Amino acid sequence: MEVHVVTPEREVWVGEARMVVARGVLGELGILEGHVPLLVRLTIGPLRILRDGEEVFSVVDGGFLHVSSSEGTTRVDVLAPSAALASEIDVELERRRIAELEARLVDKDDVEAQTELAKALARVNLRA
Amino acid sequence: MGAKLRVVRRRIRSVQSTMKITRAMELIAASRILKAQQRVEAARPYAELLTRAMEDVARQTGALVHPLLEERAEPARVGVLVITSDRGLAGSYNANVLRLAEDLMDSIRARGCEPVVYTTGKKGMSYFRFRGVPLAASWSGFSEVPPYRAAVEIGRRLIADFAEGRIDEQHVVYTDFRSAFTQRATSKRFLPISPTEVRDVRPRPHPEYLFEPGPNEILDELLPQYVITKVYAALLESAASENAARRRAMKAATDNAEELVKVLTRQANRARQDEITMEIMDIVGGAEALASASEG
Repeated sequence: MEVHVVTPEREVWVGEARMVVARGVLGELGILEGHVPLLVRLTIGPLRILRDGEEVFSVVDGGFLHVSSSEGTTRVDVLAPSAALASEIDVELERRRIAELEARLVDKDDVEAQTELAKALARVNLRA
Repeated sequence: MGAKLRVVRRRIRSVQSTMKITRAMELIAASRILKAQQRVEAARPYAELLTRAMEDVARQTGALVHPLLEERAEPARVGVLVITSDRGLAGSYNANVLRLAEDLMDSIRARGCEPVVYTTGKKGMSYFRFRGVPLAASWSGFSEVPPYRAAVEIGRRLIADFAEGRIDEQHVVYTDFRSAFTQRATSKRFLPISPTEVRDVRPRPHPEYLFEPGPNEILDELLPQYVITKVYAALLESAASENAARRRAMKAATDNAEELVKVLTRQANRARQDEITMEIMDIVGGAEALASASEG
């Protein structure tokens, strides 16, 4: 099964995988070879790619998961506005961001800050 | 040292310091072309996969129906986004884009519509301001290295203006980067999204196809994303072109400065030689005067 994880700015991860686990708007999804075609909106959260004896951890900030098949091979495309592999995450930086954003949210309701906070939390949780 | 020689030497020094600046700008522009090209390449996979997803929706639903795909029966106001640079010193880069924008606006007027101008880059902004053309919106400060979030902001504004009926079409005038030697000012219609881009797909519904949420909600996100991706691509192509134009302009300036230094050096040498000749003549004249005085 071929997996592509892309953002408008770059290709994050491309390769063969056994299973993909993502968080859709209606719940967690696990995609295996031969899955029916699917187009799902994702929420901010972890994306796990299981390979033989190895697991790739990453986080996506929403976007779509698209499963298609051609000539018997399944293909999973993950299109996210932004994404990061676990190895690319700077935990200290994200912790500082969380502190900043929480301070901003104390006295007022800021939708943008909430989204940013969710992104930062997803990154820190991935490494926890 | 004579006055003439001093003036020429001063000019040589001034030309040489200008040359240092133009050469530095040439090198910076050259490295930015490469970076912009790499970013154009890096943005391509996403655009391709997004198109594939939209084609899949088209296949499942038979035909895509969405406000962003609707041709308006009688367009009245037509948006034109003109992508220019923040700084000058880029040869005819901005002039080419602005000329094409003017042509497009003329043809929009000829259709009986009113053009509505949006700009990115300081050059485009001041061009239209100077001519008293009102701007619906303008963005600047990123023309050489456009960030993705600028494309998001611009794209959302254009989509909102289109969706809320402030404009009935949206065109974009940008510079297509063909190669380091060829860049061409180009205009394209971004909204409504034209049928040939995504809708020409034979419907082939798969009975088990799953959409979460429904196909319409998914289109509500895919199509704006598609427009934003196209705006981003246009910004990146323009940035690569701007830097290529600047590199060429700065190379020409450096070459001219080199030529000028050669000419001036020759003039300085001539002036110095004239001074020496003059001094020798003075000495010879003086010596001769002394000799004839002592003889007499």
